[in-house]
Order: sequence, then structure tokens, then C-alpha cells
Amino acid sequence: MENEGNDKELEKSVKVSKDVSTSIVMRGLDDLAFLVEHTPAEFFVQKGNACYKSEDYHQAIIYFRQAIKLDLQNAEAQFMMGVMYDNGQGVARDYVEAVKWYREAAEQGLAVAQYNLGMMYQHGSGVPLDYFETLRWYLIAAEQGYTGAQSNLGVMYHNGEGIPQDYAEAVKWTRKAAEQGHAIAQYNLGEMYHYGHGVTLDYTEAAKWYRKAAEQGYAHAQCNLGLMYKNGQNVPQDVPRGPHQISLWERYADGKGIPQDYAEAVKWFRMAAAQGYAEAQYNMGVMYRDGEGVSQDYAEAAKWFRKAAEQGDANAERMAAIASWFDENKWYSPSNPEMQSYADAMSDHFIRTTGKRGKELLDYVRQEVEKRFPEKFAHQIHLFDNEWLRRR
Amino acid sequence: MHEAVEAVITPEEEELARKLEELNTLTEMLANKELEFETLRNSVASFERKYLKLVGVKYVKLDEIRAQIAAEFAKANPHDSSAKKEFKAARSAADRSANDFHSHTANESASTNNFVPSEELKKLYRQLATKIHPDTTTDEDKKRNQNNLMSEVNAAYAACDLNRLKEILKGWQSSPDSVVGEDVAAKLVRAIRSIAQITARLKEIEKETEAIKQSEIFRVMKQVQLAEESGRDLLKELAEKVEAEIEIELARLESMKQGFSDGK
Repeated sequence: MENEGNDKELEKSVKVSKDVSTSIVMRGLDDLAFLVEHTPAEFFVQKGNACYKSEDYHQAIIYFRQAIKLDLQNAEAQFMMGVMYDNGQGVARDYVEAVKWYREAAEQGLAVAQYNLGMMYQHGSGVPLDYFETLRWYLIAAEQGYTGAQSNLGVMYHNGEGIPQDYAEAVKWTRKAAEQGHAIAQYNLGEMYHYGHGVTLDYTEAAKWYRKAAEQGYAHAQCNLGLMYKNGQNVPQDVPRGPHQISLWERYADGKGIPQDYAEAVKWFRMAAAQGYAEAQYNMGVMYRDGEGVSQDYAEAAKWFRKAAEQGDANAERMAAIASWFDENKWYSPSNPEMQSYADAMSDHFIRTTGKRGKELLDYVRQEVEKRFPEKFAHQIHLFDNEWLRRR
Repeated sequence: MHEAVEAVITPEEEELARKLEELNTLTEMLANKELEFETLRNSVASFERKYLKLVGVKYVKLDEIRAQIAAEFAKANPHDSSAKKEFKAARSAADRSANDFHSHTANESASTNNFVPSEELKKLYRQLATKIHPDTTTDEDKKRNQNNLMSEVNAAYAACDLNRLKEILKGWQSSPDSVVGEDVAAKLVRAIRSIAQITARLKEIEKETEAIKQSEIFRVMKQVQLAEESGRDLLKELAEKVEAEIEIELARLESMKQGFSDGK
């Protein structure tokens, strides 16, 4: 029996290899099909890229080295060598070496290498920090249409980072990148409209660009868009109802603002919060706490506050204190006889009907009390909050 | 009298004249086609020799190293059944490439000359083919003789041996075989048969030409020639590419041997 099995194995393996291999002439034909369009060096660049993608960095760097050996001017391989030294992939991290390779590729006109070289100068990695060189390489890459460089240029001009602040230049480069779909630039352009930096303040335009970036999944933009909907930017909160509503909507259509819309706000906060963006997590907590766009739910609010606090969000830290106050069931003790006796009754009821105690009991009682005395419950939280702030 | 003589040309003679003219045209065409075919065949064979020497041998080497790598890997992982399978596959692939290489080189003559026929050589070949092609004669003895002679012509052409072709031509002109004399009917029958033979051979050449053009090596040659027009030496680039792959695999094999012995 065993022998038969082995024979079959052998047969199978022979068959497999037969399918894989072809005549040595056919092999040449296959290779030529590639070489007609590419150089031998490019073959190894492709091999290297495939290995890099599958995270086989050791083999990737061997292929990139071979590509450079065949073609000293292969910018793509040089760039990848830079990336691998920059990230410490397949080699020990070495910023000086990374800069060397980025420069080789950048000087041959590879925009992404120019961009990365600019970043090395901006962060002083492997070279002394040098804003002039940063600006120079970003400009060269940006002129080639490389959106990352355009976007970073916009930020440099906006913040006056190592160069005189220049909002007009900031808007110019940010817009170029934004219009080509660069998410961060879209967000930055949204902010410029939001605060009127280099452009006339325009909430509709701000929301438009935030939304573009938000739809690409950029958490900052999702959160800012959520805030705009939460606050109803540039729309008077006390507009009388009735016939005036028509003119209100007309104002939105005129592009003078965006309407308050809690559901829409929650939608965008939730997306950003799910990505782990602390500010959005905090805002999710606020929406649940205040019952805006969602039904009021302190437990859910506490959950989000805690998540944000874990990331060191200062506001959320305060909220998380409230959350643990919930957990420790301190809301139960304060001097409110009506609430307390109701809680005792609910507690008795729960134990009698379910026989359960512990956390389940506490959660149940808290829920019931919160349902019965929502305002007093909220007041307790408010008192605790003030106490917490005072103690800080 | 003179007029009367002209009037008595027989239909057989008329037909013979027509057939001989057709035969002449066909013989010329045959000589051209044989020349084209032999040129193609020898060019491809010459290219194949070059390809095997420059590139084919490298594939064999590459596959051999890969088989050795798989062997090292299987040796280091004795309980890994897929490593064993991969080794078997790599081993048989390497063996097949080696066999493939030897089967190609075995039927090649030892000559490694580059086939570049001159115009003079081609002209001479055409001349000889017109005269001695075995399909132009119906006489069995002559055919056998001419067949052998044609093989010699082909061999000399393949070797670009101009002097040998000249010798054959000289020898043929003085050969009694070239002297012919028969009556009209016999000539007519011979002409018709020759025409049929040549037509059949032309079809055969067409088929054989097509077969060559379908071959992998011909397609490789075409690619290389096309690239030559734009100043690229694709064969050299291909050899470089495979050589670079060999270097990588060799380094891997070395580091494996090193690593495994270090591990022990």
C-alpha cells in the first residue's frame, strides 16, 4: 500500500513540473516577450517589487541590487533601495544610505524620489534639516505633477515652515493636489475655506472639500465634516420656523453655509471613530451623551469616551472619568432619596426574578434609574463633571 | 517548300513547345523557391546554434542550480513533504532542460559558422538548382545521381562554400548526363511528368517553409531581428538577464549551504 502511494506521489510531482517547465527555446520566447518592451534591469525591478509586496524584503533587495548592477541608471531600483534603507526592510535602517539612493533616483527625475528626498531634508533624517533643500525638491516634484509634493508644499507655505508664510502659494499648491484627488490636500483646502486662509471664508466650499477627503476615508476630514453638520456652520440657530424656512434653505443653496444635521454628523463621526481617530471618538461620546442624532445612551457614550481617553484626548479623559464613575456606580450614592429608593426597588426586583447579582445587576439598575429619572441622572453627571474639573 | 515545312508542325510539337516553356518557368521558380527555403532553413539553424550557445546553455545552468537549491532545501527539511515534491519537480525540470539542450545540439553539425550567404553564392545555387534539381528529370538513374548532387549543393550552400559550388557546376557541365536526345512524344511525356514533379515539390517546400515559420526558434529569431532594426541586441540582453538570474540563484545556493552547515 505504501509503495503504491509513493508511486502516485512521484507521478503527480512529475506531472506538476511538466506543466510548469517548457523547452529552452520556449523559455527564451517568453523572456523575449518581456524584453521587447523592457530592459533586463526592469525584469529584476519587477521581481523585486513582487517580493517587496509579499514582504520578502531579503529577496527584494537582492533583485533591486541586481537591477542596479545591470543598469546603474535604473531610478526605480535606486528609489526602492532608498525606501528599504529608510524603513529598515531587508537591511538595517540607515537614513544616510536612504538619502544616498533617493538622491540618485531624484537626480534622474523620479518624482516620488524627489518627494521622499524633500521629506528627508524636512525631517533632518540622514541629512541636516534644511528647509531650502526641502522646498527645492518639493518644487521639482510638484512641477512634475506629484501630488504628495504639491500637498506638502501647500502645508509649508501655509505654516511658514522655514519659509515666509504665504497663503496664496499655499492655496495654489494645495488646490493642485486636491483637484487631482489627494485626500490630505482636499482636507487642507477644506480647512483653508473653513478659516478663510488665502481664500474668502466659505463653509460650503469647506464642506465640499472635507467631504471629498472624507469619502476617501480620511479620518480628520470625516471628523471635521461631522463637526460642521453638528454645529450647522454659518446658519443662525434662532431662525424662526414657518415661511422663513424657505429663505433659510435658499441660503444654503447660495453656498453660504451648511445646515445642522445631527444624523449626518453622527454618520461621519462614526466612520472616523471606527478608524481610531480620538477626536471623533470623543464626539461620538458627546452625541450619545446628548442624544443628538442617536438616542441618548450613557453607556455607549462612556464606551467612546474611554476609547478616546486611551489615546490621550484631554477632553475625553474627563469624559472617561465620568465613565468610570458610572462603572463604579457612584451615581447611586448621592443624596437623592427618590432615586435611591427606586434603585433599591429595581435591585430587589432583578434579584427576585433572575437570581443574578454583580455587574448584570448594577447595569440593570442603572439603566432603569436612568430611564425613570433622565434629568436627575444627567444632573448627577453634571455635578460629577464639575467636581472633576475643579479637582484638576 | 519553305512554307510547306512550317505548315506540318504537329499538334504534339506545339504542345511540347508549350509544355517546355511551362517547364522552364517552373524550373526557374523551383530554383528560386529552393534557394529561399535553404536560406531560411540555414538561417534558422544558424540562429539556433547561436541561441543555444548564448542563451540555451544558461537556462540549463539556471535550472540545474535551482534543482540544487531545492535539494538543499529538502535536505534541510527532511519532514517537509512539499519540499520533497518541489525538489523532484526542480530536478526533473533541470534534467529536461539538459536533455532538450543536448537533443538540439546532437543533430547539429559541429560547425558553428554564422550563415551569411553572399549574392554570388545565391546566384550560383540558383544556377545549379535549375540544372540539377532531381525533380526536373524523370529518369530514375539520373534522379538518384542528381539527388546526391543536390544534397552536396545544399551542404556546400549551408557551409557558404562558394568554391565547392563552382566545382560542382564545372563538373556538371562536362557530365554526359546533361546530353539529352529523344523523339517528340517521349519528350512531351517527360515534360508533363517533370511539371507534375516540380509542382508537387513546390507544394512541399511551401509546407516545410510554413512549418519552420511556426517553430518557436523562428519566432525568437524574428523578435531578435526586429529589435536589431532599432539597434538593440536582444539576444545579448536575454543572455545578460538569465546570467543575472544565475548569479542570484548561485548566491542563494551558496548562502544555503553556508547557513545549513552553520546551523549544524
